[in-house]
Amino acid sequence: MAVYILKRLGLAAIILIVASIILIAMLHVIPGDPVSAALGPRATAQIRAEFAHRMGLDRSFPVQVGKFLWGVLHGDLGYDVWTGRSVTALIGDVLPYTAALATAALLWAIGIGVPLGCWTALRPGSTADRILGAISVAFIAIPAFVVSVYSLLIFAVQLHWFPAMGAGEGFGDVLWHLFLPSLAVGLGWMGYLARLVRSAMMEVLREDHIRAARAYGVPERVIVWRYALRLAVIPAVTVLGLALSSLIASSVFAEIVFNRPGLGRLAYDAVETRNYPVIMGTVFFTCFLYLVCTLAADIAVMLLDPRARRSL
Amino acid sequence: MSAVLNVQDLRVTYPGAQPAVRGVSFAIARGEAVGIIGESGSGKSSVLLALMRLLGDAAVGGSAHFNGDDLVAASEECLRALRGDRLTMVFQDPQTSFSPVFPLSTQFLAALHRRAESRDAKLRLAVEALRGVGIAEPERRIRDYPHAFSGGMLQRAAIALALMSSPDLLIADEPTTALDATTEAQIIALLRDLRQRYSGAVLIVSHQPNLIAALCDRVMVMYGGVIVEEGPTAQVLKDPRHPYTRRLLACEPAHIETVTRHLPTIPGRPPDLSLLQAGCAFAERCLQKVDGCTIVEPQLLPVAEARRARCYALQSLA
Amino acid sequence: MSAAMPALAAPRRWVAWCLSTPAGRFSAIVLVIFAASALLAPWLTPYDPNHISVYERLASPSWQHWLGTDQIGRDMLTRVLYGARVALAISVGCTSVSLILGVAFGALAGVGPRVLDAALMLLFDTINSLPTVLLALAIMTLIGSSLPTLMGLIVLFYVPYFGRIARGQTRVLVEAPFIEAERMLGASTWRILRDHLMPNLLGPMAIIASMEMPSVISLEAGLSFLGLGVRAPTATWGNILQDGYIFIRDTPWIAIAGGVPLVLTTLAFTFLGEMLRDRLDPKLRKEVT
Repeated sequence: MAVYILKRLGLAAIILIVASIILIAMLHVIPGDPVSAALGPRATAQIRAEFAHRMGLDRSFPVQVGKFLWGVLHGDLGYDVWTGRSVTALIGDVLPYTAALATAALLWAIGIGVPLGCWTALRPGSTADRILGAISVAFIAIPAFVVSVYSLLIFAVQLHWFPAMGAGEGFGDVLWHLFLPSLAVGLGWMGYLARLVRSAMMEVLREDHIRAARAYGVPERVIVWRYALRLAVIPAVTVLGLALSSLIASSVFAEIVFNRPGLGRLAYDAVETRNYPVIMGTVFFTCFLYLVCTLAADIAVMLLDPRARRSL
Repeated sequence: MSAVLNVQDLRVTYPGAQPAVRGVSFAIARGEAVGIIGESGSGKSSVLLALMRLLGDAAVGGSAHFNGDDLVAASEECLRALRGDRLTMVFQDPQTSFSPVFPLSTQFLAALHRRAESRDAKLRLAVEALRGVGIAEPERRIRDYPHAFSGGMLQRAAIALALMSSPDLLIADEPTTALDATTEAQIIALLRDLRQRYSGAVLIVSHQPNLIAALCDRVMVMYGGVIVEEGPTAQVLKDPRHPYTRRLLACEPAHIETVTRHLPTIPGRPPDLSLLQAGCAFAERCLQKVDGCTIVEPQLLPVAEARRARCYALQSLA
Repeated sequence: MSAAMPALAAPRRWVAWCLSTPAGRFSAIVLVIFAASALLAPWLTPYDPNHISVYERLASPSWQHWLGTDQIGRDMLTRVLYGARVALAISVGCTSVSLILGVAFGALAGVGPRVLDAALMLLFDTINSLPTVLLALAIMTLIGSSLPTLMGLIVLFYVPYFGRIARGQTRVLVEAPFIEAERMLGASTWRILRDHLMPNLLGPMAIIASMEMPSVISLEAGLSFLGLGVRAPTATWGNILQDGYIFIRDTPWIAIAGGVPLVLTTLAFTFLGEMLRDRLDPKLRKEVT
């Protein structure tokens, strides 16, 4: 198991290196360069040269990649073009908001999706199962930003049930402000988990060891909620890392629609000011989060399923 | 001697298919060991699962009185009270008899949920049960996951689990089929040994006559969803009467006396019950077929002391 | 797949099958309207999608303007109909280009030397690990937003997805006994690719691609919503939603007009994709879900 984790960490490191190569290569390959993007076409040659030097853009490509990675190792992702603040600090400031949003969305998805999947798996083909199945598919299909805009329109603007803007202050108020955005972001994964757990649960309930457990007189509720569920959530846990990182990514929309601070907001605002290092740092950091989340999910699966541990 | 199980006209039909079991009747006395042999598709496993009511959405007809309760008509609560207590089962493949994600201890404790004792007392009971089937260091092994056991050891554990409550009837579905030959012999020896200590009745299905011979007082031969012959094990195996039983036993390598490079087989295929016409299910493959065989199915009638068979050829002789 | 293909060859039976369930009927109706509005938009509406009319700014729905008008008096229904054109062009265009490139790279990784396989997979993994929307923001900062950039981005994100699946399917096929037999008979890798892999690969891949249509449409609309896609005057559902978001407090119909077609189309594609998958290739269930 330790060997496996080390291998995965190694792969993650390689992916991060390739990602930074891609990100820096983009600066060179893509027509249009960060200097004119930031300063506009009318800047003088001297200002441009100074700016390029300050950003390290006058170095050769491998040197830039090396410097960037060296910085990453020291927690340095570069500096804001205009204020000179470190990107790491900027990310640190807004990360709690995005983390709270993504976590709350994940809790929606797990808290409703998993029980819903179990419940429908126990009555396959029933009217309730078919209706809830169609609703789950609809949740998966409808884009998160549309849900965000519509929930803002209906529940905040028209009905005034929830606050429309900002992140709130104080624990209760923060939760109150989280309600709509997290639901809007989590809806898709709620539907997906419901479908995933339903099919896994139905498959597990057909397995021979479940029949054997019935023959041994194990009570039905233990069979369903312990024996079967424990196996049926494994596929769901496998995708949780993916879920968390994709929730962080779709938080961008909720942060913009609900005007909340966060990683997405940070990058979005940086587009307006052509603040390339901030965006690049955010992309790199989110990529890092993705790798951490998927690795954590794989380790969780191994803890849950002794068979997976053995197969390594 | 009162019967612990009395099965009358048991029928099993899977959804969208023809009947797999077409009226099976038999009784098992207290402490008696009965075997069922027959080839794949003869309906023998369906009989067992029907008695345990573990067939899902298959339709089960007839009756099966177990200590006064009709297993066919019993409510789910009544069955839950019986299963794992008075009525237990050992399955063919020990690897799929246990949930892969819990250690044995958890699964033994779940099966003992009815007992009032403390958790520790139940665990001690489970450890003793494991010791009783020959698992070394049961205190340590019980904390292992199923995949840490070999097939034979896991089947021992399954047997321990099934016998822990001293059931009135133990049902075993091909308990040695998934094991290799050496392990099979050990499990047969274990079951023989347990027969001395355990007083309940046993119903074993197998296609291996040696297992039945080693353990059972009486044997029933199934073909095409019905019993074609029954009688005391020793007599039936030594002197089979029904043409099918004779051919089946002739296929056992152990029974072949001359050295041969060709193992005998029964020509033809097991009956497709969906195409079954009137008459005897075996008629198509039978070498002693008479005119009546394909018209009306023969009855299960006495052919000797304590023996019955379902064949016109025998009944006309008797 | 070869057994499933004749089902597609009989259009009448296929239509009958599609209409046999409520979800299928819903999808068929929505997609017919979607295709009709995309193809026939100029004939369906008397207005020009970019005609500005300052006297009719932010007008509520009426007989003249069924879905009302926006902040500069453009007819919303017209803009929604023209928006279908962009959505159709982008979803079909991007999906097919990504599919072709994905299958090409995937098959190459599947049959090619190990080094190439490892390199391509690493590249795919890296692109998969990068956050879609944020990376789009980064690229847009450098070169600004335009339709070709948007389409290029969508293709960039979908090629690794199709490529990974195609590579997996190729590996399975390469190890299949009938391919092994061909190889023994001296068939070249190229010949095996052309005669066996491509026909066996394209069918399942087409199903997977059709199931990705809704997510391609939502990605395009999402990026347009953020102002990263098609530039403002062009009518796209994402742009309409962005206008609607700005004026959400006073004129909710703009947001409704932009979102409803988006919701209906993604739903229709998803329902149809699920039906298609269940019917044509139940084996794919596990891989795609």
